[in-house]
Amino acid sequence: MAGWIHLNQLPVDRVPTIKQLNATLEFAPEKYSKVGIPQFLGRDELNNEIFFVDFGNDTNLGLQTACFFLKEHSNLLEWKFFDIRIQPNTYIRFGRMLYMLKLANHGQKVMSRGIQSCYFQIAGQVIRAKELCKSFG
Amino acid sequence: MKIVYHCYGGAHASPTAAAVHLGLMPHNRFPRFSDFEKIPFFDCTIWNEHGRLIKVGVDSAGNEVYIMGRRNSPKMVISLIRELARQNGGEPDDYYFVNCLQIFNPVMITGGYSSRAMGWVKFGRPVVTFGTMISFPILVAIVKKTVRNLRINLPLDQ
Repeated sequence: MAGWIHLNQLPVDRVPTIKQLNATLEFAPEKYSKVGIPQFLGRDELNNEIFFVDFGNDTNLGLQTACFFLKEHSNLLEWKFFDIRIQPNTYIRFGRMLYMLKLANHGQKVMSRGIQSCYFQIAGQVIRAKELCKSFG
Repeated sequence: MKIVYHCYGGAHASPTAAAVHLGLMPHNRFPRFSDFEKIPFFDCTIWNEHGRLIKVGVDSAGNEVYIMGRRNSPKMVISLIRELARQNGGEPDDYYFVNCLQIFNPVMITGGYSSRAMGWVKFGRPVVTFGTMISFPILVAIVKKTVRNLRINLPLDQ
């Protein structure tokens, strides 16, 4: 979700409709199983490549792994990681439970409603991340 | 080929397996306490090194042998390393991951937690060494299976 906001595919000043949320490609149940795989979303207006990655239950370990690997095999400074956190509300918790029960369609509907409730939490973090990206040059 | 032995903390089971692979530990007899002192990185790594590929050596077939701690998220860490390797022009299949976490061994868990997490090395190290001795035949079997799967020509394979 944050990646799509960053790429201006979702608004920052208003809450999108459930239809809009569902239409965002990565908000699909099958993508949730790709834990640990950074997925490319697109390029922003500053030509930065935007990825999203799910570190599962251990964000700290995921970041450590990525940093150690990139430090040795790439230029670590080219990568910026932003941990997007939300306070899970009842809808999100219930949506997750439905996903776990393999009721993806219902889960997605409930989750969309939950994301609407905390949409500005995500958007605010994306705005700060974009400002930081600009300051890094 | 990069062979990565991984376990919860990368401090005991994986360094022992890597040492067996590299011929630094005997595979045909039960190890002594003193044998564990020769194992590189044994009871050394701590939580802030989890997720790091630590190179232990190169085997006689030219494969690089690594150890890694991955806590309870092996799937996430392995997927991440493979994908980052691919994105940086590497070959994901160059990495061969071997899980060294075996059956429940309370001696190893108690010793490992005391030494690594609590910092009680004087108490924890002998306990975890004893625990690793108990698990040693399983670790040798894991290494032998790896050598067989990769069709590496090592003395262990005989």
